[in-house]
Amino acid sequence: MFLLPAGLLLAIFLVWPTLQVLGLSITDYQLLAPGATHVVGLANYRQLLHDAEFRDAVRVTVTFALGAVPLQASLALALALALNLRLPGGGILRAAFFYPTILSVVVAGVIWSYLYHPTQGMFNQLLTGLGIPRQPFLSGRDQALPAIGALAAWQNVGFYMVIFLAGLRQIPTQCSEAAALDGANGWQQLRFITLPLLRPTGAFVVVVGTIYALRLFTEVYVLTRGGPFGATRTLIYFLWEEGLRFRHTAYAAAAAALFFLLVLAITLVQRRLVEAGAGR
Amino acid sequence: MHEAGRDSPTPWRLSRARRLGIALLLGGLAVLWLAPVGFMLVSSLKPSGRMLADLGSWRAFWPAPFRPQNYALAFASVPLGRYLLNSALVTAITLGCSLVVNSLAAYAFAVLRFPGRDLLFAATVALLIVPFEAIVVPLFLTVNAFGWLNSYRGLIVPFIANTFYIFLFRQFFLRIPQALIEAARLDGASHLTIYRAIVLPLSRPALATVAILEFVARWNDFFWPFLILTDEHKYTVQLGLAMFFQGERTQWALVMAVAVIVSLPVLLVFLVGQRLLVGQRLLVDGAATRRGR
Repeated sequence: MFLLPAGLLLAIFLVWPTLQVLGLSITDYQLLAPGATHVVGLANYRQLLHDAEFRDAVRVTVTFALGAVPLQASLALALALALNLRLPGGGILRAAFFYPTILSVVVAGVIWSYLYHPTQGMFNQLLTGLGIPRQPFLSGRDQALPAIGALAAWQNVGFYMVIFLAGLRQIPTQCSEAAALDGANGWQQLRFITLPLLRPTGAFVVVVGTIYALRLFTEVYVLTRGGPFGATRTLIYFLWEEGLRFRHTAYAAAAAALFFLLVLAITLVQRRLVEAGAGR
Repeated sequence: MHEAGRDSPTPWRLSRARRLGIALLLGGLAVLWLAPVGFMLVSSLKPSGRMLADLGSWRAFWPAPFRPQNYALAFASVPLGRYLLNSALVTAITLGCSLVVNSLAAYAFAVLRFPGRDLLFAATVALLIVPFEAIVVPLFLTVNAFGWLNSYRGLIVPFIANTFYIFLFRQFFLRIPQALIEAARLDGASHLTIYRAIVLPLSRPALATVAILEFVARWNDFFWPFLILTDEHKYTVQLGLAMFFQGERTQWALVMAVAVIVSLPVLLVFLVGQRLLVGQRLLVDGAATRRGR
């Protein structure tokens, strides 16, 4: 009886759609299209693998994750290590770096669109002030994705910083005290005690960050609409266009299934890494 | 369990002067970090024409000429009141239902004994891994089949049950002394009474954490409202802001005023619940579900 409401809702809105993704992906179903639906086996998957737009979307998404995750994780780690030094005003600093994470992605996108404005934006005016020519940023084929990466880093670093701070708090003081007795200096303690013990937290941040990076959509929709020339068309953007804009429902379901497999694989790899790191 | 807010011991000692130096350095970085937010606030208070013109200098952070009437103009040029009402209703109802439904399920997993309980709980936790984006197409079909496009129901009902919140409540309920519950059982109290009179009052921190996480997630959500709403009268604040931003090519300051208003409720919740949001382990466990389901 206690489980009934949650169980029912989860069955309808989580379990059923999950099964349906796999089911739909082997059919030719199209929303609003007349005619019967047929089972087509793996045809959608085969078509996806040969679809240049899908391959581009995968490439864009993976490129984004490969750039965004190390950037965000290392910045977050540096901030957390610094804030862990019992700095004066540490609480305020922590809140300041955390604040952008609670802004909505739409608000952040709106603000940054003016910073990136091609003629009068803040970044370009700073650059011209320094004698550097204007940059296209969001309208540049090579710059649009890194520009969105900078915005994403600004929004997410504070969140990973807080996770690293929680991880640092778990490290027993005895370890570094013992190392200090043995004559290890600050850098040595950091290198041989703190960072190794922080490994599980680091793995967690990398995986959560990777999955979040693979889900990139709203920033792209607000700022570039996948452009210029598909330079920011991510996997989820592709999924939305195919499935809900063009109504290629089954085709999008196959793409969603591949996306799910990717996330699953990353999570399982992380579990292995963390367990290996913990010596279990 | 470490108490919240306690600073962890430093692995090595730095001199006071050095710590002050690092704090100043980070302080400078923090000012830069918050500059875009300051720019939003200041820009919302000046004429649209000045906003871009001022962007290259310190004037981007100085509201002159001062135009507070931008806020009144913003309400006049978009149905912002309507968006706020929609978002407030959807967020409040989802939040309320979510607290009840998920804590009830967690009570079953933490206190009740029935066959297959642990297996069912393991299955619930396993579902945490499903990313919202992966199921969004069939979820859209389901909501469409129910006739829930362009409705509050479509925005609310799919988000009430949440596997992460069930997990979080269960972890918390397990820490409540079993003797307390058994004594109440001996006194003839029903499980519903125990849930209501003992477990919930003892679980305020967990309730507050879920409430904050869910408030921020629902208020800030763009993707799902964007998918199922076409009727402007049902727009949530994020969707309304995004559409206003994309359609507006001159009144930039009004866009910024809307952005400020949209950000205020979350800021208030953040200020009130800061200690819960930052520095609590619960949040760390919640990382995976942030901004999603």
